[in-house]
Amino acid sequence: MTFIDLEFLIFLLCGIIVFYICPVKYRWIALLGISTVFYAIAGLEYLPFIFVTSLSVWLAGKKMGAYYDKQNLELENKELTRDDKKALKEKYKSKCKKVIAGVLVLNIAILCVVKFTKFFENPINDLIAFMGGKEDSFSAASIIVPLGISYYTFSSLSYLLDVYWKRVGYEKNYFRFLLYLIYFPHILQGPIERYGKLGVRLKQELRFDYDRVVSGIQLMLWGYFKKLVIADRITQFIDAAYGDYWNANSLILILSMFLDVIYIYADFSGCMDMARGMSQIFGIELDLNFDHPFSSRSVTEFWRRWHMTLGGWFKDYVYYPISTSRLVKNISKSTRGKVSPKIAKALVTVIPVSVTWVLTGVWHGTGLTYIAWGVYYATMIFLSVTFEDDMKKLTQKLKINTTTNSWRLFQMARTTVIFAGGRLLTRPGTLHKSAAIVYYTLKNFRPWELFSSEISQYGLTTPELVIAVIAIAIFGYVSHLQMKGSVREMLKQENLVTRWVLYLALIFAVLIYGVYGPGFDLAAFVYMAY
Amino acid sequence: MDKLIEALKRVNPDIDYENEKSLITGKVIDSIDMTSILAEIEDTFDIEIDMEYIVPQNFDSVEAMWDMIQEIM
Repeated sequence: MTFIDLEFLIFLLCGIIVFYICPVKYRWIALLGISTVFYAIAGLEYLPFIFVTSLSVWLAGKKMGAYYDKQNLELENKELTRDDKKALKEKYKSKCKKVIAGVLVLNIAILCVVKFTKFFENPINDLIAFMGGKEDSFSAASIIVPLGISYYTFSSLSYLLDVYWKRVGYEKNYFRFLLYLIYFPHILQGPIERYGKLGVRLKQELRFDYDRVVSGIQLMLWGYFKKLVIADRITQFIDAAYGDYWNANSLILILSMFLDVIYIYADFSGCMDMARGMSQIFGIELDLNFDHPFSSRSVTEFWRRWHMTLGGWFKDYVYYPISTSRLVKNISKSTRGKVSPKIAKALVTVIPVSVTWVLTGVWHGTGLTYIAWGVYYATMIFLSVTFEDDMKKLTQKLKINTTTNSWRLFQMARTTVIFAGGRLLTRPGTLHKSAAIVYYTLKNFRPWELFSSEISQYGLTTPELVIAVIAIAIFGYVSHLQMKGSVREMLKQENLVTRWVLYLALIFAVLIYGVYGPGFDLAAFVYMAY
Repeated sequence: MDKLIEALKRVNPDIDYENEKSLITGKVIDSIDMTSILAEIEDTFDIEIDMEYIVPQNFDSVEAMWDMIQEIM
């Protein structure tokens, strides 16, 4: 059951009714019940996994919280010297370290086993055969992959580390903690929420607010438009073109690369709009996951605007711990003053950036394509950081006015091309196919054929292409408006007739031009696989 | 405080540290700069900054960084 299934919409409607029938005091319990039912419908076999994770993490948090409470009590002793206090803190930190280590290993191990076993299916079978076992006796298909495991594991690890680093207090009530993990709008595809934010929001009095409910429905509707009218339409074109890359005109392949950028953005941000919209109906704000990423002037800025909650997670729990590790500090100290500042900066950047990006790649998928994707971004970011000053000097030397709109557009286009390059590594499925697409893009250069009937041979008829172009133009225009302020607030200023004409147009666009159909599985969200 | 500003200027001399009050939340410094800032502060004041101190509010302004250094020392 995904957000676009009719069953889900019926489930959501029932959930909203149950939620608002309940007295305010018990609404969080209703939300926990609704979320657990949603998860159980997705697969009863998934429930033990989320219970193991939530219980182990909650118990560890409680234990660490108890240690820190005890530490604070002992610190109140006024006779303690500065060194005594330091030793006391060290003592409790060490105790907490023992608690957190086991639970971190357990949960990371569960995540790795369910996600990576498929990748090691062949080596495992080879090993079994080598040891005299039956050939192909192991199948990764038997491994259960719980819904949203990457998302809820990351949320629980962030809680664990935040309690350990005393950034948040521990949750005393297990069921409150379970709700933070299993809350259904964010378990499918994120956003990856921090306990310090979502945990607090879930404790607020969840009262009915007409404006907020309307606003949530509008956001959901916009998400459905992006997903069903744009993403699921243009993905057919990309699939058809990449499936026939040896024959396709190079301009068709280039068009597919850029349509793929629009596809992933419309698909993922559409899902986030649905998640945030339905959460608003329940009175809970979820974090923003996209902040107009294609307005970014650099690849580093892009990753601060794209899948922000994942980027923030890796920054806080991987990048900073590595960049403040003894190893990186020693590199920094031993190179300072001995090499140029540029080389010193490069040396301290290379390890944390490489590890962070390879892990980000592995989070997205287990094949070599995703490792290549991680290496690709690590290289891009490393180069952009290392040669930042040189680029500034070069633009000054060439007397380029960097404040103009044309320069900004050039930078935005450059960022988009880099992103399209990254997508080209993963979308075709294998690195060999990615390389072949590049090869045929260079080989099949027949621009004169583009405006023949060739363009409509790739999954979409001419009217379908026209719908796609119009829908993308609307998406672009609304994104442009969003940069100036809230479009929903702008709508509020319009008169009733205009507002309803726009609402109905959007509803009918989704109903009439949305891509549906029997057995049509394109609708599965791409980020659900993670 | 001057010692801190000097250390920060060594990382990025173009930032107006004295007046900027939202270095992190305003995206004036990024995570790459942060790595260099942490190393500079640790070296200059001979302290070790634990992960629990690495939160945006401790690095948003010179005053916040100064308070954090005092707490660690």
